[in-house]
Amino acid sequence: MRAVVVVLWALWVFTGCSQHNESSPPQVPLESRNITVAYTTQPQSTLIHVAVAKGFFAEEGLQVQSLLHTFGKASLQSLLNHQADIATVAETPIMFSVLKGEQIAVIATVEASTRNNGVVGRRDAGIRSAGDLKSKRIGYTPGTTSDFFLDSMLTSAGLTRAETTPVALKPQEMQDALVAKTVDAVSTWNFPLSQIQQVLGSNALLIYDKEVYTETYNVVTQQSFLQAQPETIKRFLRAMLKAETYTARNRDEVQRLMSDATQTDIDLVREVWDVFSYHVVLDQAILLTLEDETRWAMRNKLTDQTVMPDFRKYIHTGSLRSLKPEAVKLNW
Amino acid sequence: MTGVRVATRLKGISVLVLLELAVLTPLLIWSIMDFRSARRDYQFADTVRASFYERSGIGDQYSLYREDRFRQQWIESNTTLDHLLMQANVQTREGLEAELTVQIHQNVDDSSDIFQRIVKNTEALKGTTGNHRVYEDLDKRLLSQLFLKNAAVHGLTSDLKNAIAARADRSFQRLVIAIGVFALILVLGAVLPALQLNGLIRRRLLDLHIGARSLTKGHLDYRIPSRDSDEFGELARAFNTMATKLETEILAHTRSEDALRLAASVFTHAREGIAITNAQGTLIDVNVAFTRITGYSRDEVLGKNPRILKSGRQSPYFYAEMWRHLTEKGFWRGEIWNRRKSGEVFAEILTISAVRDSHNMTQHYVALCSDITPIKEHEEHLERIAHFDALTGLPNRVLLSDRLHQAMAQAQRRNQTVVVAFLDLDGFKSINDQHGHDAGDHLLIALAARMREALREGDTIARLGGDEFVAVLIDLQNGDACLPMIERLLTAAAQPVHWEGFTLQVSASLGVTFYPQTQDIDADQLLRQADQAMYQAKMSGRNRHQIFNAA
Repeated sequence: MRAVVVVLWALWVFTGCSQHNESSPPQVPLESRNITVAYTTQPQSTLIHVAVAKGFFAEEGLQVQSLLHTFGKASLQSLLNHQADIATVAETPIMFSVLKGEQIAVIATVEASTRNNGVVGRRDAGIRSAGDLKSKRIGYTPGTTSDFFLDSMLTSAGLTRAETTPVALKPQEMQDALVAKTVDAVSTWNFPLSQIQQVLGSNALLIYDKEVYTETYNVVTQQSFLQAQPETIKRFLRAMLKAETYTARNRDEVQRLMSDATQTDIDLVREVWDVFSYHVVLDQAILLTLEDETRWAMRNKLTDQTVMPDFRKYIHTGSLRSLKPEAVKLNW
Repeated sequence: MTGVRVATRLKGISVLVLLELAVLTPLLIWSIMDFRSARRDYQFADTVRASFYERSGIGDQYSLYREDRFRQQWIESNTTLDHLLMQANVQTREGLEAELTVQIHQNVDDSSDIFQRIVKNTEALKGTTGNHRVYEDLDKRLLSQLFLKNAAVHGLTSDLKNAIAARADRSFQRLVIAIGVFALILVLGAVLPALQLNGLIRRRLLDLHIGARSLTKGHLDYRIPSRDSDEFGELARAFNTMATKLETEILAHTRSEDALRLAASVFTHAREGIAITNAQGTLIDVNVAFTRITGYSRDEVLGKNPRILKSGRQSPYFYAEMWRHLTEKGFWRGEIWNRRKSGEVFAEILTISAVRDSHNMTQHYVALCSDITPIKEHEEHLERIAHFDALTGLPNRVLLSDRLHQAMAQAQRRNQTVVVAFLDLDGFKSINDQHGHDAGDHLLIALAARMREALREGDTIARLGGDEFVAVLIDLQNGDACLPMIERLLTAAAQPVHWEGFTLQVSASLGVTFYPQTQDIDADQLLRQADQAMYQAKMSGRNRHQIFNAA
């Protein structure tokens, strides 16, 4: 019988060894840490909402204080103001912050989309196609993807910003401005993009170009925080990876969860769902887009900087690579 | 477990192994096929990736030079890639790989669209109308997005390859586990029972080994434990039975040996001579007594026929009768005269027995012989005592009577004459008186010898007692023919005899009568006639003879 036990033990060890590739849960109780995370009610922040709601942060010993914003630029601002330890934001505000000399670091991209941004024009303003935006008043939110996307969109239509009348608006002001006809069109993102279309009804014309812009939504932190609490970053990312898996497997539940968390109609959530791709990665999209937008900003004198920064210094790949090497497609 | 036959166990193990093979072989084959499928998919993903790279390279060339050749080649390359992706969509399994395949396809399609936009915008760039700077900006934007899409496809194909590789790994692990389980079950189902069986065999063989060794050492009373009904039990019982039989055999053999030893001892030490021949009568063994009796050593007679002992005294008829009896009755017993190696003839009593096999065929003859020469001599001695005078050795009255009767019968047949002479010594009494009986006896012995010599072969001189003798003379044609012999008798009786310095001398008075006579007469009458005639001779002056005269 001893031989049988030895053989079974050997087999158990053999088969057991093959199952340690994935990141396994910590074996000992983790020291609890309190962090403040600034994120948005936008669909791009879905993974954060899932991680909070499903307790993935708690599992990692992170007691998360949520700081909700309507859009990413505000979220990043709370990070820069040291009100938050971690923030979620699209790449455009990150780009401007880096150009301003902020010492921040992208630790992961958690969403990417080529169709989240769009321009909604009023048909009654004579807008039938992208080319009709010429000489029109177009609302946008400076320093955000709305800003960059508008330029891309106009370029795609063979127009320049100078041929239009840009009107700076906060995201939450756009719908009213359109309704009030103080602008003819607005460049914005979801959920407002879809909500505005619903409000305008048949008067709305959605103009977008998925071939000229890829939006990324990212998790950023202060580089000082990264250095001070690298373990916290890893725990945060581990929770994000769990949320990614959970979201992929529980689409309906997560949609309801987002509807509740953002006070958004569930149908709207579902309508725009396929626009987004929720993956925790670090790939060429963030780096290339940051550089593209920097060139754009410098050409349009939106910044005083004239030299392209080395954005690799602002993208921290180590933590994510240590947890999921295949998620990191940037090598340096 | 004990009691189950080894053959049954072996059958059980075989069935178990066959069942394992029947169950596990399909699993093993499935695992192998799964693994091969994963490898094939991996190679296919690599092909897709290579095709994509080719298209990307051509796209890059177009971006650099905006020449139509690259555009055309890009379209061809894109068609190939599209076919591959369509094939991939069909082939790919569900789950992550399917998802990745869809994403790759999507990104490739997106990149195709972007490339087409670039081609279209290139025409605008080459034109002179419109805002040239906007076209340049759009070109950059499109190229940037194309790069992103390509990078995405690059990453996704990597992911797909990794996913397939992971599947291949899992398949391989499953394969290894399947083989492991296969081996484990084989060990549990076959090897362990086989080892157990081996242990059992060794353990049980130990009993048999100990038993066999004990038996070999001669401990035939040892018995191997044989309580189980399996082959070892059977073997042990067979051993035990063999031991029992061996014990019995050896006991019988020992007894037989004792009997043989006794027989050999009897053979060796018997006073009787024993000779053994084969069926053809050739001597194959003799004992010491035989050698002692015949004088022939064992080596001298082995291989020879007993007829070397023939004395020649027995007639061929005797031997024929002997063999006839021996053949018919299986034995012969009798007295026979044989000849020793020294040439001496001796008498022996001989018993010959035929030793026959189960088919009543004679295998051997055993002859037992006793030297009866001394007995014969004793018999002769007794006969002598009965028929001869003890002092002189001359026939006594009994033998005289017998001889006289024979002589009378012979004379009758041959028409011859028998002479009966009665002789009495003169002066013998005075010898006895003067010199004693020893002198008298000596005188009698000497005179008896002389008188016997005085007669012919065939004549008889007998002592009747005291100093009286009777002579019977035969083969005479008439009465007168006896006179010379009568005279020689008288002379012989009158010759002096020397005894211890003395000279002893007597004479004899002799009465003679004849046979036949005119009247029928018997022996006693003849003796009386001779006695009367002797008396007359004495009366006539002694040392003379007197013919009986009936008148």
